[in-house]
Amino acid sequence: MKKQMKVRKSLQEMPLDEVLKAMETAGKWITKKIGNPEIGPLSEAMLGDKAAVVLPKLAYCKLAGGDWVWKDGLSLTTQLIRIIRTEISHRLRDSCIRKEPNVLESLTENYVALEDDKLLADELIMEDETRDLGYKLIFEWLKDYPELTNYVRLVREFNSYRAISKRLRLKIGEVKELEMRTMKVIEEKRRGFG
Amino acid sequence: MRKRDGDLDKKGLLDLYFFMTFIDKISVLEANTITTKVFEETWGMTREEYLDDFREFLLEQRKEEGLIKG
Repeated sequence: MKKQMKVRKSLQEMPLDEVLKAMETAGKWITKKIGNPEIGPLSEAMLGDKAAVVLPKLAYCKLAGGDWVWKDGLSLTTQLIRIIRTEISHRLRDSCIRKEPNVLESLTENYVALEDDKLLADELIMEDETRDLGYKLIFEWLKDYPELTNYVRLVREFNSYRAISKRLRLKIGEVKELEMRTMKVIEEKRRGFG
Repeated sequence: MRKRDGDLDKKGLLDLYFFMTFIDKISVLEANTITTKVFEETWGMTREEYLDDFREFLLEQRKEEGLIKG
């Protein structure tokens, strides 16, 4: 409860422009992933408003309300997208399950759309599972190397040598050395994993 | 690679190391490929209208939390 209150406070204290930017980026991700579907569980008719409007707000409320646990080290944008990804995949899955008995009736446009929904749901769920399980494993293997653990945390947040070097106050060459050491440990552990 | 639901081949995961590492950032990169024009055409609203909607929503949220006087 304490952490959730702290998270809510952090969100509320975040400059409005920063939150707006994160929500806008989340909206753009939705645009990329699903466009503006005319039918189906993510259509305006089903959601009550455009998906790019509804889903970022829903994600924000889940974070602020504690329904989604804040993950330290991840940006607001990343967390909003993660929540939205889960929301989309669940809605698509539920919809596919409900419609399943009718799917094989004919190869109509709706059937093709339904198959596309299933593929997208699978893809999104796979992304989540792969990432979370992969990171969990990597952190387990790096637990004796706090410097490298910290490096992987930063890699998870920033996709940029420059950003990481700034954070760690290291030269980019030194960051790349950290990367090599990390990969070496992971490869050794992986070989031992058999 | 998938043995059963939720039980991924751990060895196979390392072959996807760089994919895993960047998956969160890939999402943001994907989002940033959407131009304002494409966004506006997709949703039938201008970027300003879109941001105004969110701004109003956030101010309401903050009002409810008692952080700003309404």
